[in-house]
Amino acid sequence: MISVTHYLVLGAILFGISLLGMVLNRRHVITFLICIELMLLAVNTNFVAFSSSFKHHLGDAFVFFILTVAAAEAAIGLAIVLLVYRHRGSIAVDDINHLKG
Amino acid sequence: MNVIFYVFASITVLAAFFAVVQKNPVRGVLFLVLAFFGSAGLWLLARAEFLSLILVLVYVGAVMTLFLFVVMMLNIDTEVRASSLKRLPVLVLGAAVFVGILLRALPADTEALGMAATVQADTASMSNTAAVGMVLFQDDILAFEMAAAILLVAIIGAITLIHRSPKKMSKKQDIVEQIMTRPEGRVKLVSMKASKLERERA
Amino acid sequence: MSMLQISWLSVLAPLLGAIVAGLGGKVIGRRGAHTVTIVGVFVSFIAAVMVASHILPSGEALNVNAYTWADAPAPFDFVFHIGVLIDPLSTVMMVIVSFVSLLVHIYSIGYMAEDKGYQRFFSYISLFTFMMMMLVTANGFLQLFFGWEGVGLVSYLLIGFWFHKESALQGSLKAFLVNRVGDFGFILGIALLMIYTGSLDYATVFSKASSLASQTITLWGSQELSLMTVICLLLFVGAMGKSAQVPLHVWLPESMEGPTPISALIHAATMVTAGVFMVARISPLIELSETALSFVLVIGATGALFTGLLAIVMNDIKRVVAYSTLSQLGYMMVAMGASAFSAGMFHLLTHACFKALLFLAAGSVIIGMHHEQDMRKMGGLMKKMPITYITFLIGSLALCALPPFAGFYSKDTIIEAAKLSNIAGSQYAYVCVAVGAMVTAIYSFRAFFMTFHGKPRMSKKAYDHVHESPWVVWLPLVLLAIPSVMIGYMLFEPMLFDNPTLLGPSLTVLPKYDVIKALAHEGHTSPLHAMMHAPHSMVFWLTCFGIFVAWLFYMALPSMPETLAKRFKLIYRILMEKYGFDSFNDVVFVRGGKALGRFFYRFGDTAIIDGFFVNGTGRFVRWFSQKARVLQSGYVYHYMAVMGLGLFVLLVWLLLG
Repeated sequence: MISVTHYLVLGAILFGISLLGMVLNRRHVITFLICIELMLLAVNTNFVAFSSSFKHHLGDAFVFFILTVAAAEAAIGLAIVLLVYRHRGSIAVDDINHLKG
Repeated sequence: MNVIFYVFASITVLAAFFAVVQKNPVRGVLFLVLAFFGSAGLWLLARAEFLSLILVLVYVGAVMTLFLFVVMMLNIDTEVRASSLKRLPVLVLGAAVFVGILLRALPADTEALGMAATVQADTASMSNTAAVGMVLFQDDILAFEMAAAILLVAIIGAITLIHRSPKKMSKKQDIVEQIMTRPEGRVKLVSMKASKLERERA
Repeated sequence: MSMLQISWLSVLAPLLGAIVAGLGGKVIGRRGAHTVTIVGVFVSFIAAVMVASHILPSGEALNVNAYTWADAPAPFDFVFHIGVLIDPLSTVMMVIVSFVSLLVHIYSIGYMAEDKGYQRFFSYISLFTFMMMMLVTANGFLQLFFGWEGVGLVSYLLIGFWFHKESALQGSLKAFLVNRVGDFGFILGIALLMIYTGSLDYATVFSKASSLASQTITLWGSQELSLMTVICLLLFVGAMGKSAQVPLHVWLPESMEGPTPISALIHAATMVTAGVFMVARISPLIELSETALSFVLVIGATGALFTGLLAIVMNDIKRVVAYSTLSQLGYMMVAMGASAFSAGMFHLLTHACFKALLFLAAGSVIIGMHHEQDMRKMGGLMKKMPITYITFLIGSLALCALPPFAGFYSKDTIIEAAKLSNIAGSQYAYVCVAVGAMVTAIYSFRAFFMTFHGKPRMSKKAYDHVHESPWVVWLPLVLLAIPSVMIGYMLFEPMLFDNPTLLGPSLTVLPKYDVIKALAHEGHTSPLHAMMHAPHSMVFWLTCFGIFVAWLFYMALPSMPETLAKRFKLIYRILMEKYGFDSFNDVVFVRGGKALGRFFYRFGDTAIIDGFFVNGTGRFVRWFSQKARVLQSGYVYHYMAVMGLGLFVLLVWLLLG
């Protein structure tokens, strides 16, 4: 039988993959945004699993909100990426180190 | 039932993995879309119909489309240097340990929890959408309003960030300004002292 | 006017003179300065004589508080008064102080005539007179200490009067610092008195004397010491500093850097006798501690003999008289230690007269020689300065204690008292003072012969310039010579053997220590008797032998001293080095202090505070920020890695905890 554990394991694996992707990324900024979306997906999967398991729709409502916020954050993130591209001319991660101390 | 779960699960995981390791960002986003599709299937299995379809329609349909637009707008050099694979083993190990710890954090009796075979009693008559709507508009109405506010802020923020004032970009006529010209804006009278007058008299 | 008002007038008149002369400046000019101060001291003298004529015959004491200086509430419960105690002891001191001060004021008109700091000088010596008056009329230890410190201060100001001279500055500082060491012990003693009796007034303290004597105090470890002994020893330390007892005597020779009038006033007659006066004042306390009496006796005797020996090798005429003062102060302390307080005070009185005389006469010689002080360049001044010659001779005879001059009656009594005393160290003291009598004779007549007799050892031109000093200089000499001759004879009986003695009501002597009574039993209580008895005593012959030795070495065989110095090089060297006291102080205290300061500067200041704390903080911040800056690489994936790590740690912690 599929139990909650399966969903949770899946969520954990997705989270780990996205974290790894964040750390190993040397290419471009878009990969960061993709990884963030993946993390949010993992969390959402967890919530859905628990919502189904406890038979209460509060989890669903929460997923709803997370989706909303994720959409907003993706929009703003992309706007910033566009600005960076406009000013610097490149979105390679190695070139965006202007906050170097 | 199990098979479907494993199929969709493997689709999701593989798609996520490829999304992360892609050099080409467009391909990365497309793999992400595939991961979302797999995920939507999984959510359907968990009897969250509303959410899975919202995921597909809104998230994939709108947000990922936005991603693709932006990615295609940027002139990305795909010939970027390869990332160093020196630290790869260590980091993979680290991620594995991380995941293991996450799983270790699960309470002991989680195994016993099964996925719902039947729906909740009081919402048996409604569809899933209506059930979620009940919770959303009755118990969490404040959060709902705040989510709306967040969206509004996001819209305004994104536009403000990107917006460029037009004067820098284009040279076009402003008819209104041309019609409303006044003489003072065109002619200026200056008084000067006369010079060389004595010579001319002679 | 009541006695009280007259005594306050005597105390305050010199202060008024000092203030006017000091602040008057051009307004009153030089004549105004010396006039106002002499008037002030003269008024003080007349008032003192009036008080004396009332108090001394009746022997009564007047103890009146003028006002309350401080009144501390609980839990301290101390009350400090300012007032006067007019009894025979303080009256005698008042008369001495004002008399000598008056004569010194008159003398200074002549001596300081060419000095630029004329007005300042008169202001200072008047101020000194005021401070000394406050000291002797004090009715409590607080006021005593005020006067004590005040005379120390004015002594510093006066020794360093010619402040352009490096040696004067050093001498004044040395005097002040050594005095300070004594004052430290003094104030510890006063503090102990305050703690154990709850008050600083003489009346209260002396009434509790017997209860103090039975208590003990634990200073360190588990050793219990008699409280009275500790208090008296500490108070005596103060006297050691002020009255230049060994080993705190090192300041007195250097104090000769000051003008001669102040050497006469301060370092012969008044300030140095403050210690002796103080010991007499605390006679009710010190009689109850035999240890303290022994200590005083031994210290005084040591000083009497050994400083006298040093006077034999000095070449500066003022130094000879200074060491003579040191020696005589030792004699006074011997008297105090032997519980012959009246004898000690008697010697103080006679010494004030003849020592001031000797100093002023030496000053007259110095003026005549145009400020030449080295005796090796003098000689044959007898005919040129007759009045100075005769007064110097009288002073020397009084100092050597030859009858019928004043010194005989007082010094001889001290020597006999030392012989008869039966406390520890008294026999050592007797030997010291007896030999010291011979030594006194040697050095004083050595100075006499070298200065006035023999062939002149200066250039012919200088010899022609020598002349007698003006009347303002020799008048005080004459006025001091008269008491030097007569006062011993006159006061012998009243001071020592009357019943009650002149100072008796002010002093306390326990019967077991009362050597003067024992002396009275031996007979010779009248001055005539004593004079007749003199040739029977060994001391008289020792003194005559000393004069003979001086004549021998400096008149008959002038080359002998040099030969002796070469033969006994080591002894000569020790004497010239003044027994190494100055060298010891220099090496141990001065250089030690400097080395300690240097060590703390290099180690504490520079290395620790500057290097470690101040600069070190800066260096640490720089080092740390260099290391920490690596974290801010600017690459987002680095930041992500750190975030992941943090999340990891948090998870582990939550899991385990």
